[in-house]
Amino acid sequence: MDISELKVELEKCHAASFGWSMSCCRRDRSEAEEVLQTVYLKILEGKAEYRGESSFKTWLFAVIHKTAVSEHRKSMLRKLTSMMSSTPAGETASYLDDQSTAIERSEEQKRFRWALAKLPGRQREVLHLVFYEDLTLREAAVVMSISIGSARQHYERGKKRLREFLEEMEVAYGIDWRRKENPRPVS
Amino acid sequence: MELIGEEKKIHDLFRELRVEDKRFAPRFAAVWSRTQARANRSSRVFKLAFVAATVLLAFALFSLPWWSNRWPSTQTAKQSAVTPPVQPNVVAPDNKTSAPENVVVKNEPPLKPRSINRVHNVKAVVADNTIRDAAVISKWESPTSTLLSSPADEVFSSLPQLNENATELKSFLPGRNN
Repeated sequence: MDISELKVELEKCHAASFGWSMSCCRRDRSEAEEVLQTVYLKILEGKAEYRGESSFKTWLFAVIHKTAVSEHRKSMLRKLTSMMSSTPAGETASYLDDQSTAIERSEEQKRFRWALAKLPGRQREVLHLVFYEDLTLREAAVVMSISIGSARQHYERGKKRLREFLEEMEVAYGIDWRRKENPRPVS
Repeated sequence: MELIGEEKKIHDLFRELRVEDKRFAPRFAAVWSRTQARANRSSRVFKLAFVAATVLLAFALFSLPWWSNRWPSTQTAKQSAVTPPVQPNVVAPDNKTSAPENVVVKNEPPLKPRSINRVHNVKAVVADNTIRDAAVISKWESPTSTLLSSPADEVFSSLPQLNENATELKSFLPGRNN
């Protein structure tokens, strides 16, 4: 596959790649952009080469995942070496401090994001790949470089925990989001 | 059924998230052009580093033979600096009691090879000098060695023989006159 073909394929997957990059970077937009640029650079320089062993999207997502992990490690190291002068921002905080908070979000979406941020990384990633990117569990396992059994386990646990978090918040907010799906008279 | 409903809800929430991400995603063209600029910059840095490394390597390769030719002369210079200047060219006088002022020192000009061809000649000269010096050193005697000799040396170094007469043997006996 030459550069022009690669460019076309990358352009097709660009929005999805950005979404996946956002998920890998805990919804940090600038970090996600940086990761995406690094991935494109790797492809341009031939450091990441598509050999047709899986679908292009799966391969691209695997590259993004690996790059995001390595970039995250580097940034953690940088933070550690810079004396940790500022107060460490939690994952949830960085998640909510997204630049896109400027737009008006529904309360439900906010709660969902918060719940998603509280999930462990693997669980969040597998849910993202399945529900956001519409990948199968097998493809998600390939992207995350784990076995399909592990992917299934993360998927089930993630779903369960997400439901629990959302239910907790519903109680706090006094809303039952399942009522819409399964309307039942309260006795 | 409840599970399907949950899944659907989660799917809807993710879809909403996807729509929002899509709205705020950077344009592909912008990211791609930035990537290309970065690639050009990094390749330029790589080229510069490559050129610098090549120049250094070439310099090292060319200087290696020069240094290997220079090495023996450097060694000779060091040796001449370490050995005392009097020793190699001393011509020992016949008179053993002579003072050190009589020592004649021949000063040879220092060896300075100017070309690669002269290196072999220098090596030969150095070898000759070494042999000559060894011969001179083996013949050398200390100026104070005369103090160790005495007139009675002959008596002490000789032994009485069986066929000698009594008069001659008396010379070995301690003097009774004393």
